[in-house]
Amino acid sequence: MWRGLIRRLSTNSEQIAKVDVSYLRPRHRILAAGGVPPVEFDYERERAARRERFGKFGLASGVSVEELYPTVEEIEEEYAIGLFKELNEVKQEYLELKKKQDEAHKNRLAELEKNLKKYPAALEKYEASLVKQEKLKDEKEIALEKRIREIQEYFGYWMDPKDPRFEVMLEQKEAEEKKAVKLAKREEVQKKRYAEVVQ
Amino acid sequence: MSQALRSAKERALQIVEQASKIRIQDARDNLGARTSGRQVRKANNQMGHTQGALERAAKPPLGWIWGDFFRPWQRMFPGEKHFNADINVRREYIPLSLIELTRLIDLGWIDPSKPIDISTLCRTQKFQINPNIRQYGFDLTEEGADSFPYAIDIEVQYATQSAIAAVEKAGGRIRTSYYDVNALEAAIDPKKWFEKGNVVPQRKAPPKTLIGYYMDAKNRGYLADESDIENNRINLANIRGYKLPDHEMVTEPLKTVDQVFHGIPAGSVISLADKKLYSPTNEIHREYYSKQVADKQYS
Amino acid sequence: MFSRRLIIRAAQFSTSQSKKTEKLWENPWKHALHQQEQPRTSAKVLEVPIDWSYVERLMPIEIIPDVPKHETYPTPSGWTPPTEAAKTHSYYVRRRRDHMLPLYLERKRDLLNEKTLDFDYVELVVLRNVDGNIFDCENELRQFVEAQLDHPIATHVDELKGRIKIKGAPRKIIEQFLYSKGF
Repeated sequence: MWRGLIRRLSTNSEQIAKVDVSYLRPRHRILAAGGVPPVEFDYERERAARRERFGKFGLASGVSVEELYPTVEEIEEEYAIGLFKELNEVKQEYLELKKKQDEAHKNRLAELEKNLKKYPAALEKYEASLVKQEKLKDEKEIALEKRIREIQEYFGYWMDPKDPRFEVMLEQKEAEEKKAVKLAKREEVQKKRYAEVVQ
Repeated sequence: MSQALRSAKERALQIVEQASKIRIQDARDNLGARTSGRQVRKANNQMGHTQGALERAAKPPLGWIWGDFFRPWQRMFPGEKHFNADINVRREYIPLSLIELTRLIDLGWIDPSKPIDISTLCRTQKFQINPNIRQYGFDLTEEGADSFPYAIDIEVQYATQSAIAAVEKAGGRIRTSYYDVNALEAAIDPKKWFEKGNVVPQRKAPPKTLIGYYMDAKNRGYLADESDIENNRINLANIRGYKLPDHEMVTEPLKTVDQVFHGIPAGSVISLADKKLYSPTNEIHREYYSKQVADKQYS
Repeated sequence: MFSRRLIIRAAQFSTSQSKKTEKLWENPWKHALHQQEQPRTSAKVLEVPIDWSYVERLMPIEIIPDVPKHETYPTPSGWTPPTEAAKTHSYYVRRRRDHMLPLYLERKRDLLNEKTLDFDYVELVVLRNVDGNIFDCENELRQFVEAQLDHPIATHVDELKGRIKIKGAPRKIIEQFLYSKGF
């Protein structure tokens, strides 16, 4: 450090101006001074880098403006791929689609209107069918319920009719009923006999 | 249940049967094919959770399902088929309320005498739009619509009827317009775009599914007829019950349908260092930058 | 960007020789070298005069702009510049660089709610850039806000940093307080 200072003091002013203590590379020295650095690296020869070079330094970069545009071949390739449709074509497509959707909507509304006219008749028919079924069901159900209730009253406690024991109890009750009927008959016969004897 | 009973071959066939035909749109990148950042090492990339941490640390809250890579939970519990089905396709618009806009004008960030578009809004550096995650511009919302005083000429990508009414009541002009990804990238940071040496792109028209919105004069779409828009403007004033100003307050011409920047035609190159503008003279390039095309359906 | 890459890729596909019997892998070099020798017809360009103000208005704003002169205050969005009345207090609240009030919202995690098993959060408003007697400021702020809200609020004063944290009051009322004092 001291040696450098002495050397610097000993030289004349022209030489002092040349001394650079920033330790910047030449490239960065040019950049710091606002200049255009020369093309140095491989990547700078690539297309994107050349574009960027133009964007940064303008015409002084040595990149021609023509390079920034896609080439004619690239444009033709893009046309050949057909990635983008023309605006008028898309507009037409949209209008057709909308027309179709509107028509479908209109048809649907007309159908609903038509169905609405038939609705009262259909509702009446349906309600009538409901009533009929209820009636049929009632007769059957009432008979079943009656029987279930009888059995439950007979045994004195509630029993699920789906229970397997219910069947057994039903048989038992039927048997007892038969027995009771038999007994009643016999008693009647006996009563008749008594009467005959008494007379 | 039935899925598990079928063989893998059958299932594969079913998938192929259900798949649509290959179209040009399918040539796009897979999701996540391009990343903006560096991929960290797989071993370190565990989204803040590691299997080890789960084993020996406090357990996650109830309902958290530790991922089985081969049997992710959305396949284990396939619920709503169409819930968030369009998550990778739908567009996002950054909300911009009228009160925010008023404040920006009040504090001198935006000049109300000049036309306002994405570039004007983004040059304030107060909004971030990232086209890569399908953000497609601004949505003008009606907060602050009661007292919006400035007669502005604004172009947004989506606007509610109340916002449209508020702008027109003050004597302004509003248009909704579509920017494709490329044009949007140029519009949100023009300086960066020019410094990259890119050509000013041509603004593509919206795809088929979206063109209806921008062809509708009710939304003040930029593809609608001007006469239709004028009729709708008067109509909206009648419906909402306000009086339109007598004389036209905004007289500057509108951007053309394929123009990204005011006063700069598509297909031109700008050299910021030399303050110069170049445009192509040969036929094929002129045609390429002036042909009105619509954007891809999926971009 | 995307379309450009796609085109290049498509160009590679399109040049695959369907007529030739030689397979690609028999002489890969030939195929690769063929790629590089594509003809390139570049555009022709011309300089066009331009009104440079159109480009200048696109450049990002790098310095916070001065507030334009308004006829009346508050402005349509409710903004007011600091007034002379602000200098009469024993404290002073500096504006932010962008002419806005130094009010910030903060959300901090509270205890675990045992019923929902979610963490509760407290919402705080932080007033920064307070110079002078910060406790006076806190007192007057508390009086003003409690008169408006009819319930007590919690505050925390950080004298060193010149900050006051307020819990239980919306930012709007604190904004009103600052404007009423002329800051």
